[in-house]
Amino acid sequence: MLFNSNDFLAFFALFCAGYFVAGSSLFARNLIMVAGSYVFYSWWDPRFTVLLLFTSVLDFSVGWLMGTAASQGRRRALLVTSIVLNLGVLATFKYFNFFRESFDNLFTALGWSLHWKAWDIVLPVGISFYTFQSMSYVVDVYRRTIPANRDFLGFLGYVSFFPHLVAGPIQRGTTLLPQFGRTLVITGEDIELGIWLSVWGLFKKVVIADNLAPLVELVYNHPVSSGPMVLLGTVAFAMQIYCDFSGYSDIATGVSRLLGFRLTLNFNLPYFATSLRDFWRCWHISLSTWLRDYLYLSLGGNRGSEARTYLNLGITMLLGGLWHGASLTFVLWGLWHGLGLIANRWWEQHRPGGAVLPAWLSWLATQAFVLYGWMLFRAGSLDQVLELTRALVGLSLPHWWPTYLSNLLVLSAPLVAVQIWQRRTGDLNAPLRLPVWPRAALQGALLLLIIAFWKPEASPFIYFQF
Amino acid sequence: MKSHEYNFSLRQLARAILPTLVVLAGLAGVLRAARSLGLMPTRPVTSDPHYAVLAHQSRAARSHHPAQIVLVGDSTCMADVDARALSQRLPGQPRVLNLGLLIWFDLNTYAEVLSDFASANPGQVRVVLLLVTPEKLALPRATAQGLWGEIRLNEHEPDSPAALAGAPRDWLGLKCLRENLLPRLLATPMRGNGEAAARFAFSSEIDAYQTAHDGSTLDLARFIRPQQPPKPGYTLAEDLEAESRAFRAKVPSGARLFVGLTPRALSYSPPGDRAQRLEMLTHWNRWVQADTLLTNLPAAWPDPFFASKEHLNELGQKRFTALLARELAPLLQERP
Repeated sequence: MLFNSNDFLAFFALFCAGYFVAGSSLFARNLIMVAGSYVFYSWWDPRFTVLLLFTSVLDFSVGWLMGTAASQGRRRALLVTSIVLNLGVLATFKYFNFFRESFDNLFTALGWSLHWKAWDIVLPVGISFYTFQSMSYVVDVYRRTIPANRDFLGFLGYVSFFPHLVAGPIQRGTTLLPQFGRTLVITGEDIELGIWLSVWGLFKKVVIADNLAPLVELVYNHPVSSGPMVLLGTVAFAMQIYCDFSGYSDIATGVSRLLGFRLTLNFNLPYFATSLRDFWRCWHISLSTWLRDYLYLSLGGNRGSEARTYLNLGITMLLGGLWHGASLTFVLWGLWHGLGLIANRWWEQHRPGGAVLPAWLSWLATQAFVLYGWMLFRAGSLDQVLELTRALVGLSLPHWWPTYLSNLLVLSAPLVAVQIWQRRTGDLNAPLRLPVWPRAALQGALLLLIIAFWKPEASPFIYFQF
Repeated sequence: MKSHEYNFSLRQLARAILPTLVVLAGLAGVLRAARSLGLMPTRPVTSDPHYAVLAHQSRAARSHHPAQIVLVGDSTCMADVDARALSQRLPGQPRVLNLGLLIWFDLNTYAEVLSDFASANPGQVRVVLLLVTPEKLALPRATAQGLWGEIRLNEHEPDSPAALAGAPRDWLGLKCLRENLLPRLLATPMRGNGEAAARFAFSSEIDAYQTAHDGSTLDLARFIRPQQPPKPGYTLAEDLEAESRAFRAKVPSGARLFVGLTPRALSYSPPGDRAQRLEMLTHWNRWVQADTLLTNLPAAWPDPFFASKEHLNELGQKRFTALLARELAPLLQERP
């Protein structure tokens, strides 16, 4: 079920009614939450609820056993069991065909033929998100950051919580899990924030991202030889993916707030970043902090030699790229950012004479680097990456470029305006500080445009495929 | 333990929700009032390529244009002839306007287009050139008459989302927002991976191309060879006689009617194609009563000149336009 669909509107209305009725009992609330979340997830394919349940049962059981285990060795064995099984499921459903093809190509190049049969595996929506979230709980219990959970229903709710189930933000056991075990207080501020985030998130998705999509396709679905068009197409994609993904996060956070739950921040104006490190502190924060806490630090972080730190950074980002999907372009994207972060770190530690670049130059260099990364991310194949890279040196322009630019500017303008406002006030919820009627005017206008662009066949969010 | 507590008053809840709904209703009211008072701008080209092309032809037929030669017919007429180039190749360079439509419109619709142009530009047309593919003559009466009426009234809505159809859309005034206002800010990109999308990118660019080429378009598809050999034989649709006679009656007085058939790709041309086409043309002419039949137009051309079975590509269009100019030149110098 998609947030931007009529189905979800009907589902959420019914869910809220049930949630309201269940207000007197924590157990009833959690039961309704789990049932609602499984209905929400089964809308795509009911079979995959079994996988969701398997992951939940596995990690709840592992956590429970870990909590009762006396020896560190047994705890470690349980941790390894959870990781192997979770990653096994993920590898089977997400990466099997990718690795099969990669090995096939490798062995064919070496003169051997494996003739492996391709499996027709359907990727369960959001599998990477809920698997990482569930795994992080086990690691946290192992590290004794949190105690083992004894409330199975609460744990099912934690893993399947529908607002963020399929595209995050990835929550930790430390933040979301306790909310299933206590009485939530819904304030007037929660309602206002919930409404604002839901409206703004839907606007970013339905009005901006969905209308930018065909502009991106005009560049990425046809052979191009124009550098400026590759640039404009990639800027359009940078806006599209931001509005699509942060739109989802905003709606997830907004819907959660309306229900009294609080989710962690996932985006913090990443396109204002003046260094790549800064960018990753503001982009998909829940994944980047997950990778930092559970992968980078596990690899040793920056505790070893400088070379080892660089290696850890590279491995982390490479796997971060692979997390997005079974494709060489994602691997390349991860590698690109890994190399960028290594260069960034090297520069910070070795810059000659403590030289500092002007802020505008740092911003320009960072965003140019990020943009090229988006090109790798959006390209359909390595051949297209090469084609687009070669096209960058071409200066020709198609006759329709002014129309293209005009569409891009019109669609980006509301986003840029709101983000400058948020940046200048230092407040991501700046629109909420407006007096009642100006805020209503803003929300009403956004709502009108959302309804105007609402489609009967909702377009999926980009990050659903991950 | 309780699930949750509401720590706000009903007044706070109303404050969070009602003003936004009031604004929404207010904006809807403004939009509706603007539409009722006729303050909304006209609808620009917003939709799919077919609609963009037809909308252009509909407007062009009712606009002032100095054309003395008017081309009407199906999509082969529109795609095979470059009206601007044809004009430049004819003696005295008389202006030419291509008002070709699509195959699923009948001859009555072509006649209607012609009448519209004659009304907007009285006493101006010297020659009407009716160009169609042979398939057009075999089709039973086309059913797109109603569609043309809608396009003519600028009421056709191929893009309207079903979710917005009906009452809610009208209550909120979204129909005019979507169709009259927003397209003025946002051009409609063409979807798909086809050559047309790569070349034109936006529906509005097709419109601009047609304006620059006096109504002609380009088919940019890639030619695909037939999987089975073409079948010989021809038929004329049963109701073609009445339509043809009605069409003839609508040719402006003082204008001559030239009629021809457009070529098709060689690999789609059945054996004896040329002889059959001549027979077909002669048969048809008993009803359409052309002043001149263009019998020297080719029946088939090599595949590299084609974008599809019947549509010429850019190169083919250039060649065919030049050939047509050579056919027309002596005819135009004849006295009517």
